[in-house]
Amino acid sequence: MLKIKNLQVKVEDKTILKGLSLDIKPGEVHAIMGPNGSGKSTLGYVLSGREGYEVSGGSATLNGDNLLELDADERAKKGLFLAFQYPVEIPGVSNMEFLKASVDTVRDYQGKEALSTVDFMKLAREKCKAVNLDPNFLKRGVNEGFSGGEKKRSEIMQMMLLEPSLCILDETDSGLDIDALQVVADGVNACRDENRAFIIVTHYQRLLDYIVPDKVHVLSDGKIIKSGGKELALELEEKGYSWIEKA
Amino acid sequence: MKTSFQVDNQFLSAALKNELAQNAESQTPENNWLTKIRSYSYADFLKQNLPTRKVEHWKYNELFFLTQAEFSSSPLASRTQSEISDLTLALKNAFTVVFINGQYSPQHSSDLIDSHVSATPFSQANTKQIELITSSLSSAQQSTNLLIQLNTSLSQDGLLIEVESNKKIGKPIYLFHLNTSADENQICANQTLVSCGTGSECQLIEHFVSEKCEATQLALQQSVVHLQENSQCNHYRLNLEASTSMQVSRALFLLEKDSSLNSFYYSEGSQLNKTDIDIHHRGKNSESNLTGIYLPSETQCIDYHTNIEHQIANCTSREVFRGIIADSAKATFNGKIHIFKDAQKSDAQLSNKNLLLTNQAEINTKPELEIYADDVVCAHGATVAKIDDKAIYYMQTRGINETRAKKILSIGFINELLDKVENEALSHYLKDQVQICLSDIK
Ligand SMILES: Nc1ncnc2c1ncn2[C@@H]1O[C@H](COP(=O)(O)OP(=O)(O)OP(=O)(O)O)[C@@H](O)[C@H]1O
Ligand SMILES: [Mg+2]
Repeated sequence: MLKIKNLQVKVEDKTILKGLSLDIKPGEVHAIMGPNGSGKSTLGYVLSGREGYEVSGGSATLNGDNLLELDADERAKKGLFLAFQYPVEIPGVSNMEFLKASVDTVRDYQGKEALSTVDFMKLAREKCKAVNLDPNFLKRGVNEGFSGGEKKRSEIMQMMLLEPSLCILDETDSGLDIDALQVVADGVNACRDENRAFIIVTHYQRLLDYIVPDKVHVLSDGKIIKSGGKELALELEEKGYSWIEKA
Repeated sequence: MKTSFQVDNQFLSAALKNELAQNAESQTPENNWLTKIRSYSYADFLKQNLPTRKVEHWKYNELFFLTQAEFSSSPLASRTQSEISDLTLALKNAFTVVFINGQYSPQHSSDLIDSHVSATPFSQANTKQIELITSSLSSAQQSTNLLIQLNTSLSQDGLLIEVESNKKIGKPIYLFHLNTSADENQICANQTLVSCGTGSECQLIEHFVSEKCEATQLALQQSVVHLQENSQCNHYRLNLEASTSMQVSRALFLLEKDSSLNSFYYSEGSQLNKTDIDIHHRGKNSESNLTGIYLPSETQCIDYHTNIEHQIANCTSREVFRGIIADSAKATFNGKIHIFKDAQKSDAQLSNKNLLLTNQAEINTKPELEIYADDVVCAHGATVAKIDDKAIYYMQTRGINETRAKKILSIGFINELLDKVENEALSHYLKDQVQICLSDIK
């Protein structure tokens, strides 16, 4: 599904990703862990099409499409979803209006039937409940004044609405209380199926108890320096990163 | 940019200058009072020709054309009722008053019998009405805007609208102004006085449109709204002229004791719209609430100079203006709050926010405070921002393309102001209009 080969990325002339390769098949869950500043968020940004990230080498394809030459919105329409580490607040634009515009365009692109306003509202409320957000959040500005944890739950709610094929979750567990962590994990698990893949960026092994990954990768200084099964996360929790970095 | 230049009467055609000079000399017994006001205003206008410090008022404006073009008086034009109806707002049940090139057009206007609202041309005013007109207009004479002086001198007549005391008028009073197309540059003038009787309630909608043409239409206009004690007025002023139009106008509100004003402004489309808004809190416990949206694009220029005077204690004023400036358009917002020496317990708040859609778009925003009382609450703020790239990217990651995202963000910027429009038909109209106006965002 997602094939990344030797990806090199610069931001403002600073090389951040230094030859990253990753191969994710439908239905798989990959966890990416790694020290602060190693390039985890950068990977999500460059895959989702953020401006200012210059690809100086390598390739990335999603279901055969060259991701790197598409606009960000095209990538989303083709099924890529990034749950942000720091979601943006958009005052004045109601969540409902924003989500409707989003769901309408994505469904239209995918040749799905448009939802009536009533059906959309019903669906949106349902997804809110699934992540334990009060449906009144739909009336508020996008992320406006949401607490850290509410923003993260709102990202998962968006993911559930858009039904993407590749979901990248950037530290969705950071800042969540224990109950919210469970809620988010349940949300993700409910979305898991044989056609959908996940990249889960996290610092904490705990999330991976709830969302059991197929593979765990360690990203350090712009490269994947070690990959393993779910046990690798436990090992990292215990020993930190230095033992691999030194090796 | 040129910061000062001399405006003199050279931009008026010979015929117009002649007419104004003759008026100044004539002393016909009937309508003597009107002739007098006109000639005094003309004298004031001529006196102000010298570039004084007041020229600052024009600093950011595009009145430079006045030194280069010549304008003659708008011809009397007539339009069929269906031509008018095509352009008016689809308001349910309004009292419509139509002006064509500044002139009151009774044949297109609603019958006001039994409506508790009356419309009287100044030239037909009775003694009591003349008293009302002269006293209200004398407050209006203080304008530093020389084109408003010129408006008074050019207005051969005016219209007085009176709302009966202690009556709540359900239907909106809809003042529709049409400027017709012309082959050569034309200037027209209008002055309208609305008197909201003691304890009355009304809704007043001023709507300005023009036919697109090759020449420039310069419309001068002044509305004076006098809110008598304990009256309430919901006012809307919509400038939706064609791109060949220029309007220089003033809206003056005189607020007596316990009166309350909501006043909403919307402007887009014309080459130049310069509106001075003056709010004079003359009676205690009066309240004003101003909201404005301006959306200039292409090479248009919109300028609002607002001046809120707390002349007396215990009054409240609120003012929120927002602009979205596209292409290489320009806007000026100057918001002055003037609190007089004895106006204790004044409560005044002003906010102006601007969104620039391009690097060429220009905004000059300047809040001004003049406070001479000590026990007051006064807050003001102005911001200028570009469209938020991070927000656009965020929306793109949710499938919304850049153009659409910009449009949603722009509308989001003014949404809460649009929500203040209480008149339902008007609210629908403006929401659609905003979509149309912002549909060209790239
Ligand atoms: N605009 C920029 N200019 C310069 N350096 C940048 C810019 N954006 C990111 N970086 C740098 O790139 C590196 C990788 O950042 P990134 O956000 O991808 O790290 P991360 O692995 O997500 O870290 P964390 O665990 O703290 O979230 C950091 O050193 C960061 O400072
Ligand atoms: Mg990060």
